[in-house]
Amino acid sequence: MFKQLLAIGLWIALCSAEVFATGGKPNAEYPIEDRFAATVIGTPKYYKAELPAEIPVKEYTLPGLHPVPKLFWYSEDLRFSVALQKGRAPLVFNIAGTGAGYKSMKMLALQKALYKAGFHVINLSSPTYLNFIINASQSNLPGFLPEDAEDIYRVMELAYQKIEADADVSEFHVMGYSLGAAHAAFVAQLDQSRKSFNLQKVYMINPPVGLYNSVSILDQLLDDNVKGGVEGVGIFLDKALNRLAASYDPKDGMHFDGDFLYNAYSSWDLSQRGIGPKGRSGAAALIGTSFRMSSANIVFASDLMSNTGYIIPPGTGFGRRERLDYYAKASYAVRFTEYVDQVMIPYLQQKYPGKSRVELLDEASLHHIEDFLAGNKRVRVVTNRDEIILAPGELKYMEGLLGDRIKVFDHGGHCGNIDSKESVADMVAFLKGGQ
Amino acid sequence: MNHKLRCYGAILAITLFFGTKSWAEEEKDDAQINQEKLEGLMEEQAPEKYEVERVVKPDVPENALLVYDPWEPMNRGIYNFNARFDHAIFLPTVKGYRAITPDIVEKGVSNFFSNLGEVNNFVNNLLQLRMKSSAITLSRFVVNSSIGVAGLWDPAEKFGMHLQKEDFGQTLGCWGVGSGPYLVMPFFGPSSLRDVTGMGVDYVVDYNIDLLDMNDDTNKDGIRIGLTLLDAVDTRKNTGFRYYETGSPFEYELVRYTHGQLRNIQIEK
Repeated sequence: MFKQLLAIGLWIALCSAEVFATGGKPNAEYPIEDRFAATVIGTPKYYKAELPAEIPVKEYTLPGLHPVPKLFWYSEDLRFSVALQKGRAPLVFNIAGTGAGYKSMKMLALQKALYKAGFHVINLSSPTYLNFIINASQSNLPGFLPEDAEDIYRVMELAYQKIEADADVSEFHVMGYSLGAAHAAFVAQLDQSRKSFNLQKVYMINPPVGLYNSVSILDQLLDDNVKGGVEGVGIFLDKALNRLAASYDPKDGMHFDGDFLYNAYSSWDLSQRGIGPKGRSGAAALIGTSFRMSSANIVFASDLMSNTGYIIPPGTGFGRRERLDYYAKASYAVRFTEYVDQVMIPYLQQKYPGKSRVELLDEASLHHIEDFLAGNKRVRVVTNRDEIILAPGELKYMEGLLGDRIKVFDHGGHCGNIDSKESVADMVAFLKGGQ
Repeated sequence: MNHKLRCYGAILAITLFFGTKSWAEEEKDDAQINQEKLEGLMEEQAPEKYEVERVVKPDVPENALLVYDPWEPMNRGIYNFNARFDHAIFLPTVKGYRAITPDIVEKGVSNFFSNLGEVNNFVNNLLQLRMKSSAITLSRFVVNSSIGVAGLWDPAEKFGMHLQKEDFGQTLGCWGVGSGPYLVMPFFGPSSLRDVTGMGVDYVVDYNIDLLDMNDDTNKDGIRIGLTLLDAVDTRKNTGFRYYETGSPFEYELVRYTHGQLRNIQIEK
């Protein structure tokens, strides 16, 4: 106990020393070296970019594509948010990562950073977010990048129509983080033929290369780091929540989109983090669990919307007050790779006869738009040397493909440094450059 | 600069290393929370296509997220009512309140109600035999009601006397009363039979102590209603939760589960 206190004391002392030495906030690189801890904790306060506390944001809705089932009565209409400058400015479409909505913490931070730098910003939910699956996905089966891009592009057009009268736009850019980064690239490629926006720049933060690879890695994190795999998640969550509860502040609200568990981890004191038996890491377990919670949302919602009968027996009618715990349990048991192999691929093979599994998986990767990405000066990628969602060789592949248009930070894991000073500076510099 | 950073990382690594032990220890003494039931449910892991139905058989004996909720249909109805009320009336009111009221006044209102709440905190700390917390609560009340001008400011916090929030639901829990069935209250949100009872008791205590001398006032009903409404708006303002914005179709289950966990922790603390 004393040793732990001492270590924490030393750490704090060093932090303060660092602060005093530079006469204010340290102007240093992102400090967390453990890739999983970085992913979970995010950017410590002193390294965060300075962002305004509040910016003028308006929320809008678009009518949904499908009749909304009774169970999802609360999610009628697609929602998105817009922050507009007073005068003429470039507009950035900002696309959320896996399972995240337009209001997730990362999205809000990016919106503030862009607004502060003088851009109009439209924040869009990920096609894998409940509200998007219900209202804006043609197939209701998100995750196949070319089709997702069609859906997003349609939403971008309608969203812009809504605000066209109020916004004085000089040019259009698109960006996103995580899965949203891959979406941004596919959308930009689509724009080359559609030309609705003539998108000028594409900024990709921590993109996956092969979606299936990334999903496999995240699935595996749960199996490797939660004791007993998915069966142990209940017990693991009990513990995680116990710690969250210890410092829970009702002001923070609740989100079950990933931010939630990350908050839980951040609220643990340092002595409770670290590597457990058999190399199990608490942070990695949280990432795995958080991903599984997101994927369960997708699996259940897309199953209900598209009647594939995967989780929900065909013909089941849901009322507004339906009991869902068994379905929740079943959805949590599904690995996302299983969902891809057992639902997505069969659906796609039916739709595009003659395509093999390998071909389809390849289309859901950056390889598919390689020609667009290579040598395209309008594209920039930022990622981290210790990124967790890239399979071996994928970082090298991107470096080879993009040359000096990829920036690789040493630390940050997956999006852990997204709102750090350097990251925000890089984003603003690229989007502003050459204006 | 760079070697300094290395140092920094090393220290962080050391801190994480010392953390190793507690994580490992925890892994060993797993709380055996319905492990059997979970295992039963999850036995047929890795479902094949269409086989997930097996997992969702309605005859699986216990619900998965392990909360006693026999009044679920009613609770869900009220949950949905609350969501609509929140969206149509409550949140717009809070928004209006925030727009017309300067931040410093909002803070004063929050402090004022928090100070009135000290009566219940004191009684319940006492009932739980938490003498130190009772003393802190009493001192807070005295300091904030005087120096803090009827509780509009919270100078006690600055003197290191932190709020010791306790309600009668927690007191019951402290003496071993189980939570009873989960209950969603209209307007108030997630609760339980025990905690609703506790709220009633707290209200009666409040009413009889009558801190603001309202019971003799000729306009007492009007004042009471006004204060209750302001209290409600203030409480909503300080609560970040938004219905159906969690992004999960299983929000009801997750909120129910999380609420129960949070209450248990508050009781144990």
